Amino acid sequence: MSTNTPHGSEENMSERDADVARNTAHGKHVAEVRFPSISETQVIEFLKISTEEPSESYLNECLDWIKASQSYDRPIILELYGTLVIWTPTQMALVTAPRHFKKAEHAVLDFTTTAFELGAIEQALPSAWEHYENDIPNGFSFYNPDRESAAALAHRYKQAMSLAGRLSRLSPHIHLAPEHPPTLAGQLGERLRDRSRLVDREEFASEQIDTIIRLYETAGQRVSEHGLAQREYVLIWMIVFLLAAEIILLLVDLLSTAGN
Amino acid sequence: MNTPRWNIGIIGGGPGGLFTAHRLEQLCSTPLNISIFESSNRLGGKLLTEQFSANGLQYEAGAAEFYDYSLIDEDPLRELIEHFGLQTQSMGGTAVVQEKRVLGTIEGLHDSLGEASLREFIRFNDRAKTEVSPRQFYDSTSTSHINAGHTSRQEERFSTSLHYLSHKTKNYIQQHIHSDLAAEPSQTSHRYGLDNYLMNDPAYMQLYSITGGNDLLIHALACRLSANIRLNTKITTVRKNAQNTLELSWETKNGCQSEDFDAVVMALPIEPLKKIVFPDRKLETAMRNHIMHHDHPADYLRITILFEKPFWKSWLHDSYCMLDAFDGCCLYDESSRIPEARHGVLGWLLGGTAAKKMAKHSDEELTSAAINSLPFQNDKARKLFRQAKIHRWLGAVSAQPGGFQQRSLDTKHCPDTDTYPHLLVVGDYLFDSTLNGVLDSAEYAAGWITTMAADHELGQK
Repeated sequence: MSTNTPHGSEENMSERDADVARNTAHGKHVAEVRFPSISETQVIEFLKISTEEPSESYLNECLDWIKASQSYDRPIILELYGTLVIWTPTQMALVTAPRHFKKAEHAVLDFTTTAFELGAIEQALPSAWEHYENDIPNGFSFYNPDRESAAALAHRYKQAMSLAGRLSRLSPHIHLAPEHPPTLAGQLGERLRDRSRLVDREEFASEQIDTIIRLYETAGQRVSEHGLAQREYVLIWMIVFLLAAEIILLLVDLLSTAGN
Repeated sequence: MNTPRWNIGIIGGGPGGLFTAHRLEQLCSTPLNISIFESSNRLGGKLLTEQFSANGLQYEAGAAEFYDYSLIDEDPLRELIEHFGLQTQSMGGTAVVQEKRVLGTIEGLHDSLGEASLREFIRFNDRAKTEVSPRQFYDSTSTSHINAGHTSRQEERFSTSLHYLSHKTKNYIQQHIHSDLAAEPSQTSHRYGLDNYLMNDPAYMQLYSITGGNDLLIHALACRLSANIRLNTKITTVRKNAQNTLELSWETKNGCQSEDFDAVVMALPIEPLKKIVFPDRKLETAMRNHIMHHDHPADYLRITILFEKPFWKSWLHDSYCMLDAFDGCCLYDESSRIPEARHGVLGWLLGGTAAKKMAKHSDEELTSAAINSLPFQNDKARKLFRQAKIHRWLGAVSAQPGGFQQRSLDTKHCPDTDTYPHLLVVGDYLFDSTLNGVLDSAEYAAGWITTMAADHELGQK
């Protein structure tokens, strides 16, 4: 089974639990969720239990399921108004009543997409920092005659700007205004974002990206100044050459006139 | 020649008195002699952070939270708290527990109230938001709306606004806001009732408390003041003397004592204000008029219980929730303020008629009633019970702050502007029954006195 979820994630039901997934209204099954827009390889196992029974009675079962898969991530456990969510970056479980299931599932997947996208940005940050220290002098002056250095700086600027763009697009999903009157989906999303500290993490990532962009913007100005200076230098020499040629031609002209 | 210092007397060592003294010291360019008279043996009034003797765990026995308006516009109280370097923590809660059901979401409401009542509730919610925008809500809590005149629905009671709703919906809304109002819907206005409903929406207002105890604000204020603070000094009489100054008198073991002041601020709730004697007939009439206009007493009762451990985490997910017991009361998870605490503390905040009625009972009866009111795990609660504390705050707040007819800021703060421009009043009952309102009030009074002191100095020169 493969279904499209609202934020572009894809689900594939795992074979090992396919036998228990016949009843979608009441029952449980494990699906594999992929986020192709974020990562081709990242797969999350999603245990879905749709039941009228109290969700807390499934807590141990869900925790055992996560432990059995040898997941080393410390799970976020959320019990809220009869709904249980256990979330790790590799596995998640949702237990709720059938009538609330779609909305709760939507909220969990929505949060997961946001958390993954932010995680992907955070993972990309160390590579952006990699050249930062070495590039700092270029923020003050740029002397490298080779074109490759300028191209490398432009590339890093583009990378940082791309990260900033991704983070800006993500921010509205992180800073969602709380709903009033509250809905189950809204509450789940709000608390999951709160527990995984998405707001703080987004702020830290934003500050880091700003710092990196500031350097490469300044370095970009220096590179452009360097380019202009180079062109001016060539122009000056051309003028000198033309003036010299003019003088020589004048001298030749004078000498020939004098000879006559 | 040195100009003699102006003497300012402030009656009341609660937040109103301290805020006024603090603002006066900040605003006044001329040095002042400020004296604060407090009838009890402590400062802080309704801001009271207490401890359990059993294990020293803290809890809020008075005002449990502060209101944060900074999302909409300036929030002077929040700025002051930040200026003092006090750490804050946000508080939240969406659930109402009705008939052993925790209703924290629209879905829960649908299951409990049914489709028709839910639709009705959503219509009420939409209507409230259409009538009062976040900006209008903010303005109604600050000074700006006073001069804008009152609305045509100012005198309409909140009970009339709920009249068209079904019993189920009305009950839900009343229980939701009962402890905030501390009064019954028939005792307050349509607008104040709506404001109390809308404050549950985070787009209108958010809640926070001070890490380590709300009364840290009082300590921060007190240690910055150079004012002369006189505890256990209950002012009994205020009179004008021949030099046009105001004489404050108080009883001591050795008889009556008095002192003259150039200006006096009475930062007291309505009940203690009633007990002060004003021998001058004109002033007495003005004060009676002021008290009559603002006398809409609302009551609070706080029951706080220490338990061996917090057993309620499976159903109380936030800092607080509303219970249907006692006509609607707020149940605080006091221990959520202290994440490292091993013990658990629950606080019941009863308001309105239920608070007044229950306040007559003994502490043991109240403790038992509180435990019985828990929707779940009552037996466990009895088993894990360690200690209980009761705080009665009768007539401590106003059911209709500002009165049913809004008055100008001058009239609010100065009961007799002609004869007694140097006798001012400050209080939360003048604005919105909140600490933010007291600060606004103190700011206004301090500005008034500063201008008078400056005029006086100019006259002397």
